[in-house]
Amino acid sequence: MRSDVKFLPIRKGLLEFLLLKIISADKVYVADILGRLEGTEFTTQEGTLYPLLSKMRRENLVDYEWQESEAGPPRKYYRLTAKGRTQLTELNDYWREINRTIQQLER
Amino acid sequence: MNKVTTVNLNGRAYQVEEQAYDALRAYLDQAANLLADDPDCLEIMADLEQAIGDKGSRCLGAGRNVLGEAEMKRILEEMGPVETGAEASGATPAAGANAGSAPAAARETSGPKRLYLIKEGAMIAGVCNGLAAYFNVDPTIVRLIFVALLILSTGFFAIAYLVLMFIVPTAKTAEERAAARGLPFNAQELVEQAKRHYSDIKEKHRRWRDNRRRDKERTFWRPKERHGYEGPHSHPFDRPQSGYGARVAAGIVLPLIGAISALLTVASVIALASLLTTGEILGWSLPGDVPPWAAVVAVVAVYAMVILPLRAVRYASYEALGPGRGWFVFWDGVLWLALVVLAWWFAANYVPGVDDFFRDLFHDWRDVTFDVARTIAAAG
Repeated sequence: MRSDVKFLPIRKGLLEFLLLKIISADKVYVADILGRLEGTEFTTQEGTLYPLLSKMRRENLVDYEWQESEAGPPRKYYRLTAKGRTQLTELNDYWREINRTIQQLER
Repeated sequence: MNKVTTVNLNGRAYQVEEQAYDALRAYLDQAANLLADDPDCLEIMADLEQAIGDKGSRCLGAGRNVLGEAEMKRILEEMGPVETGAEASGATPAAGANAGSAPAAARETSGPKRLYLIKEGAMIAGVCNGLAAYFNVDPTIVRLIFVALLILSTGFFAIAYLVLMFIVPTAKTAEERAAARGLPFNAQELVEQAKRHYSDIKEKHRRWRDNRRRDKERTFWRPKERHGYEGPHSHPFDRPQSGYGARVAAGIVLPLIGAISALLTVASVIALASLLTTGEILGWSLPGDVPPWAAVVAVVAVYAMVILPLRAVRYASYEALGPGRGWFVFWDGVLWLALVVLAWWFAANYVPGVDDFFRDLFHDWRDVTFDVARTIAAAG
């Protein structure tokens, strides 16, 4: 992960987008999400993830349900709401647009 | 050997070493502080607790059932600092740039910071250790500065150490150890504050749905302390701990009383001495009709009358110091003895007649013992 402070806001801003992407694929619980992000530019810790997920839940982008686990207490499994899906589509489009702009400027 | 405490992490009990508990508590309190304005504070706290517990469970098993400090620090490092939802989504560069400094500021303003003696890893009484925690520097640096000052002041600075040693209370509980480092310790308040958010009706409904599920699991972090072996009659936590102020006051009062009673003792002995040798008390001669024995009784009575209330205050101060005051009683006694010796030396050198009197007394005493010995020998 790049330690440059200037890159930090970019990562922070994109994290929510990435979470929507991960959750859209399958019902996931926090350890899955952390595992998917581990080793990438977006390596995240519980301290960040739980508050962010809780905020997204309040914004009605994700919801969760309890599921028993074979070992230990029940886990929260997150999934996207209809609003979350809409937002993900919008963000995907927006991201493509940003990339297009960047590539155009490089020419 | 370390003391072990049992903690309740989201409904499951874990045994942790005391240092690990301190670290955990500091982390959770800081988290609760940062999340204070978050409507889901309690829920996130429960999630964090569970995550810590899960990580802890992975360290345990196979003959290990206590989490140590190193493991807890690693777990908390893995958890990472808690960032609030608003901060994490800071899309604008300004919000992102400020994000780093915001939790630091919150950390500094939260929780009162107080100077305590810290016995863990102390060299003498924990003064340097406590100062180091207070100023957030390495204890070795404080000790080096102290030794340098000691040498520069040709030993005079030792008095500063002694004064601090007596006045500053010792950090005994986990809360006090945290306060010594200025970490937040107002979890209870935060719980109350977070509870107010429950008034949101929609949230209430959702929580009701969840609570049915997790009724038993969800218990906001409520540590239960368990102590190692402390002897059959030692129940230090039955007694409420006196406040910081009361203990500082006791720390000031005790050496003062020690000094006053030491001076009184020496003054009375000198008064008696001069009364017996010259018939005068510090230059004031007895009226003709008062027999010397009555004067002796009067001196002893005055001494007893003054020393009794002092002793009462002293015992009251011991009480204020709370559990673990045995150490303090010992040092108070040592201080008292030192002051008696000092006053004695001063009197013998600067008050005329005292030195001679005791030299004579010693000779008289030797004569008396010789006489007694001779009588016994003659009788035998």
